[in-house]
Formats: sequence, C-alpha cells, structure tokens
Amino acid sequence: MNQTFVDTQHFSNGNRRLYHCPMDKELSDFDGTWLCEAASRLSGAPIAGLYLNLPIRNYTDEHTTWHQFISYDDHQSSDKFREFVDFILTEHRNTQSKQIKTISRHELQEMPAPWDLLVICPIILDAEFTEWLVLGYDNPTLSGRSMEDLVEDAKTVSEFILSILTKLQPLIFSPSQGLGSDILEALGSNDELAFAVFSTDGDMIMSSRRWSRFFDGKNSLISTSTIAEKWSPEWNRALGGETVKGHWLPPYNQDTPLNWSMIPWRTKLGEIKGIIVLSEVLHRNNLPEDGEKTHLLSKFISIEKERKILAKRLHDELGQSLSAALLNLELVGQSNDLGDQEAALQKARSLLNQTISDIRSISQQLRPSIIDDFGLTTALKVLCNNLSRTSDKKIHFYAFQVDSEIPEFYQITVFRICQEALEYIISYTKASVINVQLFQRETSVLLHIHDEDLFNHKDQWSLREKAGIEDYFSGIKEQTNLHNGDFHMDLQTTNGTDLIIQFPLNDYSKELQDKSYEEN
Amino acid sequence: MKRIKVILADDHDIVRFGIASVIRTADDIELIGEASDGRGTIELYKQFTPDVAIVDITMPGMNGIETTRAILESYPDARILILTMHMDEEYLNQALKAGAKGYLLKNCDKQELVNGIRSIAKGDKVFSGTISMLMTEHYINSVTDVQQEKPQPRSGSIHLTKREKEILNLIADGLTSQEIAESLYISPRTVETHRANLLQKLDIKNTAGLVRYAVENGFIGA
Repeated sequence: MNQTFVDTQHFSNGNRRLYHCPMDKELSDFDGTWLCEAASRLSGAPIAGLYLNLPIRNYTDEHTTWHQFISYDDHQSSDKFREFVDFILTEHRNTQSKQIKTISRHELQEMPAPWDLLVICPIILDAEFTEWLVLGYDNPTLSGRSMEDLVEDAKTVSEFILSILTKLQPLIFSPSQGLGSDILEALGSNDELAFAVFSTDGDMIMSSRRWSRFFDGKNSLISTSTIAEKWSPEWNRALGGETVKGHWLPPYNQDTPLNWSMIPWRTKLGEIKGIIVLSEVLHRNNLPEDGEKTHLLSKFISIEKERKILAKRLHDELGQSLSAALLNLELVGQSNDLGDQEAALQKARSLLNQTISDIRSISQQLRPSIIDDFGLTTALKVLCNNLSRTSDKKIHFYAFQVDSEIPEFYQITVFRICQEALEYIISYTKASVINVQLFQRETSVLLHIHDEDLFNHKDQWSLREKAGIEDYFSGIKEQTNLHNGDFHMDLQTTNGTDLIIQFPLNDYSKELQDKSYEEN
Repeated sequence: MKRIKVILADDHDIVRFGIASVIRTADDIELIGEASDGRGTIELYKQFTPDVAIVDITMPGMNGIETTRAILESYPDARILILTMHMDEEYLNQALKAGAKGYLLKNCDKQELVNGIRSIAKGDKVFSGTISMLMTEHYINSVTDVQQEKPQPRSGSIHLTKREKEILNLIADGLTSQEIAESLYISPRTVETHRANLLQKLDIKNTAGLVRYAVENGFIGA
C-alpha cells in the first residue's frame, strides 16, 4: 500500500468530500503531535497520509478580509514541510514497509473512493496559522461515512478524540493486544486528555496520564475505582450500547462544569467489550477566563522577575559603590596626612561617579526617558542606532506618518517589544540586515520588523529550533495580546522573517490612555 | 571687573543648591536667578537677559531642549549651557539642534563647570570630556559609513527594503497577494502588510498606482 500525502482542499464532491475543519480555537490550539505519533504506529494498517491545509483563521485588516489558505503545492517544495514529514517518518514510523509518494491534486481526484480519515493532527508550525497533518486510511468498513460530519459534530478536542476512538473500534479487538493497541498506548501517554478504557466489569484497562492524576483518587467524583458503582445508571446505559453524555462539577472548580462521555467499546463483530470514559480538559466556555488568568499570572511573574533583577542591581552595584564611597570619606576624617586625604577623596569621587552611571543605566532600563522627552520614533531610532553600533548587524529604522498621538502605554510597549525582538535576532541569528519600520495608520499603529536573511547559514531548521524561536516570541505575542494588539510572525528558512505587531488606535486605546493619565 | 551673569534651571532644589555653591566660589560669575521648570526659565531669561543660562534637560512640563529653542527664538544670541545627566547621543544632537552652546554632564568637576561658564560667556562651545569622545566616535563612524558607501537611511525618507522591492516587482507582474505569498513562501497576511506599507510609504492609493510606480522606477524584473 502506498502512502500518499495529498491535498484535499479541492476534493469536495460526492463521498470523496472528506473534511472541512470548522474554525475552532480549542482544536487549533491543541498540540496534537502525540496523536500524530499514535497514528504513525498504525504500520500494519492500510494507511494513506493526507496532508490538509485548511482555512482555520479569518481575520480582517484594514484592507481586506480573506481566508488563510495555503495549498499543498506550496509545501511540496517547502523545507519546513519536508522536514516535518521526515521527522514523522524517521522518528515515529517503520519506514521499511511503507513507501512515500506525493501526488498532485489532479491525481487525487482520479483516486478511487471510498476514502475516510483515521486521525487528524493539528500541529503548530507557525505562530499564526496551524497546519494539519491527516493520516487516513482506505477502509471498507467506513466507506460512505463522512468524516466531515464527525468533525463538525466534534465541538471540542475531547469529543473529537472520542470520535476517533469510536472509529478505531473495528480495528481493535482488545485494547491491550489487538491491532492499534499501540495507538491507545500513545493516546494514553498524552497529558492533555483525561480518558480511560474500562472492561465491562469496571476494571480499568488503560488510561491517559491526566486521568491517572485527577481521577484515581477514591474521593473523586469520577473515580477509576468507583466509576461503575457510582455512575451505575450511565454505566449500564453504555453497556446497553448507548453513548451517554453529561457534565459534572469538579471539586477544584465548582464554577466550571466539564463535559464527560461514556461510550461502548465494541469488537469488530459488534460485541461490547468495554466502556470508554472521557472527560474534557477544559470547558469551552471557560477558555477566555482561563486565558485571562494565564495572562495575569505571566504578568505577575514578569513583574516579580523585574523586581528581582532591580533589587540585585541596587544591592550589588549601588549599595556596594555607596558603601565604599562612605568608607573613603570616613578615611578623610581619620587621616591627618593631606596626601592620604586627597587619595581617599579622589577614590570617593570616582566611586560616586560610578554610582551615578549605574543609576543612569538602571533608570534607562526601567523606563527609557528618551520616549518621554522625544517620543517613540526618536527612541526607536536611537535604539536601532545603538544596537547597530554595538553589534555586527545593520539595523535600519524608518517611521512613516507617526505623530505624538500614539497613547503613551503603546509607545512604551512598542519600544519594549522592538527592543526584545532585536536583542533576540542579534543574539541568536545570523541576520546581517534588519529593517524596523513604524507606521501610523488611520486606526492603528504598526511595527514591522523584517530581517533580510535570518538563518541564512542553514539549509533548513529543525522543528525544535523553530519551536524555540516561537517559544521565545510567545512572550512578545502575549504582551501584544494583553494590550489588545495583533501579533503575526512569518518564520522563513532562507528568505528572512517578518514580525508584524499592530495596535488599534480606537476607543479602547483612548480609554486606556485616560486611565493612565488618571493614574499619573 | 564685569561679572558673568548666570541663571540656573533645574527642577531639583538640592542640585541647584550644589551648582550655586560651586558658582559662588568663582569671583567673576554671579548667579542672578533660579528656575525649576521650562516656563519659569523663559520668564527669568526675559527678566534678566543673562550672559549664560544653565539649563537641565529633564524638567516638568517643558523640557530643557524645548526651553532652549523657545529662548533662542526670542533671543538668537542667547548662550545656553545644557547641564544634564543624559549621556546619550540623541540628547546631545537635540540640544545642539536647538541651539545650545555647551553640553556638560552633572558629574563634571567644579573647575570644569566654572571654566565652562566662562567659555560659553566668551562665545566658545563647551562639552564634557565624555561627550567630546561621543562626538568623535560619531564622526569616525560616519566617515567609515561613507567609505563603505552604506549611508544610514534617515527616518521618514522613502526607502524600500529588499523585500518591499521584491513584492513591488511581483505586484507589477500582476500577481495577487495569494500568489505572491505562494511565490515567496510567506503568508498572505504578511504580503498584505507589505502592500499596505508600500501604499503608505509611497503615498499611493491603489494597486494600479503601485504598478505605475514600479514601471516608472524600473522595478519590473528587478
């Protein structure tokens, strides 16, 4: 059986209509690498790999509204896509029995139906858009059934996984022995999902790590040891062949109901051999609140970190210099020798000069006075010039139609973001030319950083390196989001990287501006 | 002997007290007035028209640079000595652009300040040692840049980056944002941003204008 990586975006007629992903934040934010690993272990099954790239993000900018939509053809020659595929194959799949084949979308349309999908793995390949690797298989037992329906029904990751487990059913005779048992094993190793598979007697056959952590205690509402007993009505309905769904309030958060499901686990012949119990990790409605808490937490951590650095500098630099200066001044009083007195005074003067310099440096770090005195444009120009002078990079700064009306809190945020991004690019990349551009538009202020040859020293980067970069810039993204801004990053292997940060100049910003004035 | 009349502007009492103490040690210099902000300094200058005004940069309301500019608008011959904590090149540039005759750091020694006041009163220019070094370094850098034929672009000038030229070229070839994105392996969002940046930078209203600009400026096939 050939494996194929195909694009299904134009594959939308009859029963070949495979999949359309609804825009689903929870799904798209979910890191499904583990699931990909699970799917890749299906080496004995007739698998076809389907690579989908879907319009998962809509957004509007000042000029146009459009769907993000990148076709497979683009990625056929894309290093990052090839590397990803290689990663999957070398790390997680027995390649000896498989042959990878790429086909065009025209060839795909000639391929015989039926098709269906087995596992869909969202993977974050970029800060802004998510690509999906889909491993599917041509299985007669599933022919005529639309995966699209399945996905559209699945409103959360948990429900989606549940659907997949159900789909796996015909392939697996026993969760611990049958074909695909390693899929369940891999599913179980996932830390994001709380689910367990029980025998009809209520004995647990396997569970995910999260399940073990949260539900293995006897006092838990959903408990491994008591599930069949405490939840007997639902359990019995599931044993009778019904999929039972409900919600419950976890003891640690009485305001957050979590959805759960019990689904019968059937053999290929339809006999019920067990029950799958699955609980959502997060309730969809609570995502924003949780996100907000995370933001606040990270903000507090960041403030505390800053305080620690400041306290250390005050103690190590200013405290020591002033103490030494004081000692020298005391020496002046204690000595009768004019030469000694002069030397001690000179030393005290030198230490105080050093202290002044340290204070200046700390003050600049806390808040660059240049922003207050001359505004954001000048501050950025100075920043770029200084960094250009002290590094081996050429950093060019351009500002367009920027006036002083940009709210003060955006000015400092844009400055900090730019400073942080440039320091990273200077420290960790081989970019030799960096362009920093600041634009003020009618309703927004936009910072665009583009380095012309980031990573030009490499033929391609590894996923780990990429993840490291994204991880670093996630702090900037969070900072941008906290200020109601929009963050976009385009990481490129050989063609430079774009970092685009945009803040709205609207009622919200005016409100914040007023607030900051009140606080002042 | 005619004494040099000086006014002093700084928002910190203790700093004014320290500087006044230093000035009083010189028989030929007389401190005739003090101010704690920019507007007060201008009023003081109008009242006394001193030989030298010593002005701090960071002051509430109107800063020292703006104050210098305002005084020089009415009194083009005014001799203003900036006395500041700021050692950054930009502050120096702004002060010189505003018309200040000298720039001393607050941690200069007593003699440097007194001599500085005397030099400014005579019509000379005065800079702290550190500042002179900064100016020299800047000069050397600018000469080096010229030699390498890589002039630093100025803020506000219409300079297109390599990527912008690339995109302009593709726009002129009739490609859509989607097609440009595919061609450059970047997202359409990034292309749209570049396109909007180009429109704003070149003050052009639409794509047709961009194409015209590309043709007229030789970007086709660049």
